[in-house]
Amino acid sequence: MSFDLFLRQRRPEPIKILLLVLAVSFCSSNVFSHDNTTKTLPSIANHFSELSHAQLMESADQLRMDGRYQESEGMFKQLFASVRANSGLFHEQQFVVLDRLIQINLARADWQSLKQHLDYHDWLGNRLYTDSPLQLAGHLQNNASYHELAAQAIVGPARNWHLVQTRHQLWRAVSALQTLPGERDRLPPLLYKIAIHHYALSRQSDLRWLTSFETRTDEPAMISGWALQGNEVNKRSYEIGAELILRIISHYEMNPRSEPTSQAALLAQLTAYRGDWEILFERDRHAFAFYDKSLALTAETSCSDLMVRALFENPAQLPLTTLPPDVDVCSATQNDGSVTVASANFNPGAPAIYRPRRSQDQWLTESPPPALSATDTEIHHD
Amino acid sequence: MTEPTRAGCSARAGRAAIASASLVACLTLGACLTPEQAAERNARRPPTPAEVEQHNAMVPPEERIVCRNEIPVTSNIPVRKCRLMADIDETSLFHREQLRRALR
Repeated sequence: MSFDLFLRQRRPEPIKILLLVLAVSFCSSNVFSHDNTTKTLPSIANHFSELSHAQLMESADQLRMDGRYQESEGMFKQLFASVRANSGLFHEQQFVVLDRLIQINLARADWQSLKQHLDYHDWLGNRLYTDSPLQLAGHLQNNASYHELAAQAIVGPARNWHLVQTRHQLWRAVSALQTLPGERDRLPPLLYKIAIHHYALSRQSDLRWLTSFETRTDEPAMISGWALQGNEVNKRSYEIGAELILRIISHYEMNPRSEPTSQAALLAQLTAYRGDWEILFERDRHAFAFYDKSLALTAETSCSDLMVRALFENPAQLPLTTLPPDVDVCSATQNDGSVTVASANFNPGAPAIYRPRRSQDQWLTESPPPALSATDTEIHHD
Repeated sequence: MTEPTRAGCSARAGRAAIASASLVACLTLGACLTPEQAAERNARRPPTPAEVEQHNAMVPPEERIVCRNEIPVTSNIPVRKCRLMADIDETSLFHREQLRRALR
């Protein structure tokens, strides 16, 4: 039944007239008041102009860099609402502000807000880049790096959750890249990163809720039931890392470099990484088999002495957190004399682990000097 | 009972050599697989730990699997079995219930 009909049938004539008068007066007052406000008030509610948007962004960034996180966060939240109002709910411009908000959450150790922002970051990326695997992979790696930063700052089960989420996001990035045969070269660094995260997790003394985070829910909550034991976690981490490093090696075997020398040098370095993995999990006998294989591969390069010195004569703290740099080792060592490889210690309480050293054709068994930098290991050459 | 002659011995040795050669040939031929057979065998093998983790990262929690070594009742040799996490929980609950009933 229409409104008109309703009035005609159910209401007497005077009431009908009164209602009409009221409706007309309400409409006209609205129109006039709107006219007045548009003339007097500046348009700041949800619609910043492009210029003021940039200015606000700049000043909020300045506040963030000055350590005034609370004020900066307030401004970024306003900007975030504005971007959503101006550009729509599904626009990648949101990431510019969202990234800042996440950085502020990390700096303020506001884990609750961080989780909300990271969930939104993940959801929006999946929504926007479903049809573009390369962009999706980049976005997932970005999300993973935020989880990684959070894992470095937290202890206990929350750290495990962030580590598991980092790994999940990296695996999703790997899966996205695997759909693009032309982008296979991007896989080895990601696979190695996953292996390193497994090592980091296996060094955790507190493995509570791990099975829950890995298999039962994506939330940082415990769902009770059957769980992996500590030694099973260790064994699985070892197996996954070993498998991933072998996958990396076979990737480079199937896609060899044009120069036979640099191909042999790369394989020698990667085989040494495989040996390192055995050392990290206290399987020394297996490690030396890989190191010997690595030595044999260095003989195929044009600078075998330099390679042996680079790999085994200077102490390298394990695990090395990045793959060997994509440079011609022989010319690099002859030119500036050094190749820098980052390393990390995931178990600060325990003594650092080093790659075994070799001198005068023999493996040295004594511990390397302890006064080595904990973050970077610079391998010097002649 | 007759003494074994040199000729008899050499004939027996010859037969044994042929038998072992044919056995080796059978095993060697059996080990050679066509690409299709190799792919089929590969498809039948349980997933590696890394493959399991990649799968689990891509699916919602209710579809996640766990692979572990289990020792069957009739053997001492562990077998790698992969199961849905939900199945493991259900089986575990069922067995606990049965045990409780038996002990009552």
